[in-house]
Amino acid sequence: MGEPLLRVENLCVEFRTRRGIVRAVDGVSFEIQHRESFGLVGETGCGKTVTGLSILRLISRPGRIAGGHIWLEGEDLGSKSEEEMQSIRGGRIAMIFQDPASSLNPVFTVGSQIVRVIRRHQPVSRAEAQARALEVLEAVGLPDAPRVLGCYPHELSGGMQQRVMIAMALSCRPSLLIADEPTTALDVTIEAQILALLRDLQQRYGIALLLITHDLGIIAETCSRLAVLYAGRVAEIGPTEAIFSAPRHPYTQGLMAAIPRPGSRGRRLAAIPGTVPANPGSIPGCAFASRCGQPRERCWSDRPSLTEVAPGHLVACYVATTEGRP
Amino acid sequence: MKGATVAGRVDEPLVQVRSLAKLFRARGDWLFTRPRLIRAVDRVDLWIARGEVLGLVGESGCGKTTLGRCILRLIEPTDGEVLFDGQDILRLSRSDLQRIRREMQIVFQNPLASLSPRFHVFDIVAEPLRTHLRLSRAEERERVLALLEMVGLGAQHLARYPHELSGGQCQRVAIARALSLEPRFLVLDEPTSALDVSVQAQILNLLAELKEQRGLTYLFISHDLRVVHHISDRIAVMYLGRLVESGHVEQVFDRPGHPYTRALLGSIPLPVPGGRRERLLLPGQVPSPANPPPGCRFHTRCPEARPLCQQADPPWREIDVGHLVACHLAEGKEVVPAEPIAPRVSRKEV
Repeated sequence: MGEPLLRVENLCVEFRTRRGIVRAVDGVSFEIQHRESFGLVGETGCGKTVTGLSILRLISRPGRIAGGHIWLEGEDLGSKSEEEMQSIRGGRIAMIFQDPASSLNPVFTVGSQIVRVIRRHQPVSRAEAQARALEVLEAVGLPDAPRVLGCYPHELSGGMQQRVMIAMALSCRPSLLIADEPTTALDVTIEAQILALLRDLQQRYGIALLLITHDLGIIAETCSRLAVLYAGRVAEIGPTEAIFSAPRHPYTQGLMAAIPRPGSRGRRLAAIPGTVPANPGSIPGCAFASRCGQPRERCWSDRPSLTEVAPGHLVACYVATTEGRP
Repeated sequence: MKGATVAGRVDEPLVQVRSLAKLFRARGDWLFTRPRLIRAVDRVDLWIARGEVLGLVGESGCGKTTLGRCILRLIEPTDGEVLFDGQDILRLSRSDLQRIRREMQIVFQNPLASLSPRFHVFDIVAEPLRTHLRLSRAEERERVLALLEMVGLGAQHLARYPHELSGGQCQRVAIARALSLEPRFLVLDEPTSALDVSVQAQILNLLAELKEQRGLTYLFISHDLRVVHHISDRIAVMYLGRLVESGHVEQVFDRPGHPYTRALLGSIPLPVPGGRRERLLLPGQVPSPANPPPGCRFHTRCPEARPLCQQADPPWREIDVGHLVACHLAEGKEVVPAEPIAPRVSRKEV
């Protein structure tokens, strides 16, 4: 395979807090190919959102990118000037967030916000931008798109607002769309609509998708590859099929077992004991060791690196890589 | 058990709700326009047997939280009856209500918002004891410690403030507080929705254990069908202020009778690659409860709607023993849903 669309290498992000420096992202690496849908899954505070924001260099004080590189089609984003980044944001990489209501500007109409994005990135006339805005609103399945153009965000429901966000993100034909918990604020029936829309657009326009979520179910039906983040580190990465059929990291196994599913009724759920460590960056060994059912001596002192257990399937765990299932 | 109450029979449901309605008055669009009425809960009938978990599911704005609070009379319902152990709690005086509140408690979705930030854990759990019982300091401390231990916390947590605890620990404190007066009935309003899956599993296990140990009865309100399926014995599905289906978990999940239930079930993202069951995507949005559609509330989004659905309210039909569906397309005997199907209790209608 040639140069991937996006390559994140050993990304570290730190936040300065009253209790000292906290490492939210601690050496995360992954690649996204052109047209691929890639999932980043993990629980609250695992660093998944911060990873997404770092790709667009949207980390502001007291946070900072403390190390690592991000390449977009071979170009190092770390070496870009702020102006260059501004044209990448929204132009080549677009991002949508969990709460569409707070992402849209309440005092401008939907149409004027989309037109502004288009004209910021492309040398087109106002009329052309208007036509383009209408086109993208129709593409995201909004009924009555001409009316929506003139609506203010509060006049739309949550699902419609998220469709508008997606339309805005698509308006400049980005090659990568980062979707950070795009359906968490929505009801299940609307969530199903939005996920179907994302899958459809991704295939229709050949956009790569980085889907950030806490819900393994969403990943399973949307992404072809995924990375499981725990405490700012990649615990496991690989093809969705492989990870769901045979999760190798004890954390991934625990996460999957904790989801109530048809067979679990009336039985105890396999909960992961304990809680996420407060400052995982200070842990010398495996960040999961304190909650792991089978830690070794080595897990407390040495940090496991990602090791390939099957083609394209990598796990950062001494237990899984030394005596994992065949 | 309690022999004192007139109708408190063991074979009778612990909670029985009859045509409960709650209307909210919303401000009009303009200063002098008439206020609009919002039917948050629209003639709901349900019952919860002793020792049972009834799961109440529905999307945001369907009225499930309002219904839960009306059942505890935390919100004053506009109309209807709520029988708790045979007593209509909507007709109780303030002092009688206060007494019966010991038997029924609630756990809210966001523990950080429902626990006072200025109280220690000890005071949070002890407060109901101080309100309802007269205990010595030593007895009080002993009770609080026992309660905390029961929910998996310990003496080291007594002097903490809620913000010093994790979300899961806060929810444990909220559960300890709810159980402090040894209630028989708990309303759990989205108790795990703010938690991560691994912690959610801990809390679900805890709730199931407590129910077994203490013979509790739950009304478990959630939008998450996976969670509801896991913990409930029976399910009630709510849409725009009304129930549309109720029945045993297996009946509702394996043989859903209402198109809305089928759509909800088809929307669950399953943790199986490529494994969504029946991909039935519902078009459109939920209509506003201020201006609900006539006839069947669901007809605007229903893939199977007929002309009749726009005109008439669908009757309740029993499509299987104890499995009720309010849909014109369902087949079965028409029933009045207020009473449990079996055992039927003879009592004069009010």
